[in-house]
Amino acid sequence: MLGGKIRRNVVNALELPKEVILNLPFISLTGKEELTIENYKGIIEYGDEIMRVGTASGVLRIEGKELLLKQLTSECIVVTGNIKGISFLT
Amino acid sequence: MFLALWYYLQGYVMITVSGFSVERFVNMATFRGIYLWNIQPKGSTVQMNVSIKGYSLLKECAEKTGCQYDIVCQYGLPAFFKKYKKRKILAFGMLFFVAALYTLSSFLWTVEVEGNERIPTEDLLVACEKMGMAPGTLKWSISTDNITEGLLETFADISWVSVSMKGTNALIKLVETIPQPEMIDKTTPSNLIAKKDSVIQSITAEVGTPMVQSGDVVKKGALLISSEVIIAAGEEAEVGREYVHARGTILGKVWYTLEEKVALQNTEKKYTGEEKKDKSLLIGDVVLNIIQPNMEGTYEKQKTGGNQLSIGDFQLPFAWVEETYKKYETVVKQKTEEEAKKEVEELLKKKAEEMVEGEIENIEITYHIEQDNVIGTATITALEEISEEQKD
Repeated sequence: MLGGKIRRNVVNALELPKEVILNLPFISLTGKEELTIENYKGIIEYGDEIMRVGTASGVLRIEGKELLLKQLTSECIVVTGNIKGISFLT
Repeated sequence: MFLALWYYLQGYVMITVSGFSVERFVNMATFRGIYLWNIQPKGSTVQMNVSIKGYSLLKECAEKTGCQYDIVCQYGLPAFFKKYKKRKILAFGMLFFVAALYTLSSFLWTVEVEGNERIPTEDLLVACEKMGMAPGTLKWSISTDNITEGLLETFADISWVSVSMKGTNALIKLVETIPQPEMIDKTTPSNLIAKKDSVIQSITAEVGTPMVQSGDVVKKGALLISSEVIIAAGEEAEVGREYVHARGTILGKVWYTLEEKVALQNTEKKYTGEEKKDKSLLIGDVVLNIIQPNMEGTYEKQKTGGNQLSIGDFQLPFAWVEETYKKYETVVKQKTEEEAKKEVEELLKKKAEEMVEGEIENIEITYHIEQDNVIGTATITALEEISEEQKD
């Protein structure tokens, strides 16, 4: 994708926030108890030990115990619980 | 935090969703702008919270994704009101509480005065009461500006005053004027006269003509230093007379007699050490004392504690009062004559010191006994300044 590459170079050069221009997910983790994902696409799987969330960078897999979707809006997801690991599956 | 409060005020429902693909249901709801929170898997179903507004939109999502949902419970303020709608007395009680708090706090309960040294607090309070600021009046009817002006008019001694209301408390802060020094009029002629019967001990005339000598016996009102000064030229010739404001120091011996009596027998309180506490509630001026201790024998009452109840700065007209009763026995004590005499002497000396303005030279005491009382008569010799300006 040439257009994508040019856009990425422009963003890198101008130091613009990538999550806005490139529509990438913005993931922030507070300790191991709260995970906030902005700019997601949708929930794919939902359980209290494994959770899969669709994002522009691929499927994000969250592993943990007693996972709880604290908040769910069209812009962001807040997951709380005992988070053990996050990984991208592509 | 604020979002949660917002949804609490709007009301929300807890639902359980079951079906083939709950994830799809959740995604669809989210993309339609329905806010979901606290999503928890509960076995095969998923429990979540949704706002009342969002709840009405869920039906379509459920149909499209083939899920079923049930209400578990309703939360929030609308649900709360629904629940308590039938409990009229409770609602009335709440309203009554708010109304009572409002009415009680719209009265003025205490007036405090700060900064007065010479003006008695009672006078200030009486003046305030006349202007309509007294405990028990409505706060809204009091104009602090009027009272400030009124106080300044009534009391010439006040140089600055501020009246402020804080809750049910009014605070009057004031600053008194600096007292004017007593002006000694040195121009108008006046005489110095004796203010007591006495024997002159010494006389020093600063201005004026002395009319008495030391050793003279003077009566009250006798002329001591005259304002008339004869101006003489040479030995005898009188040139003229001048009238001055007489000044000088005249010390005279003054005698006083005092009498004091002390009973040989007297009763004394002897505390047994036993104490009882009594707590009561004070509403305004009415004492509400429900539980009173058993009182046998004689007790002395003493206020040991208390607490004015208040909410924040609003002082309520309720107060806790705690009183301690100390048990005592009355004991009759017999004194010897010597002890009584000593006591009389001390009393007399104390009294003499209070009464005599100058210096006490000598105290002579004679005693006699009358009906179980020791009576002491003291003759006090004192050296005092006896001059006084003559007033016309």
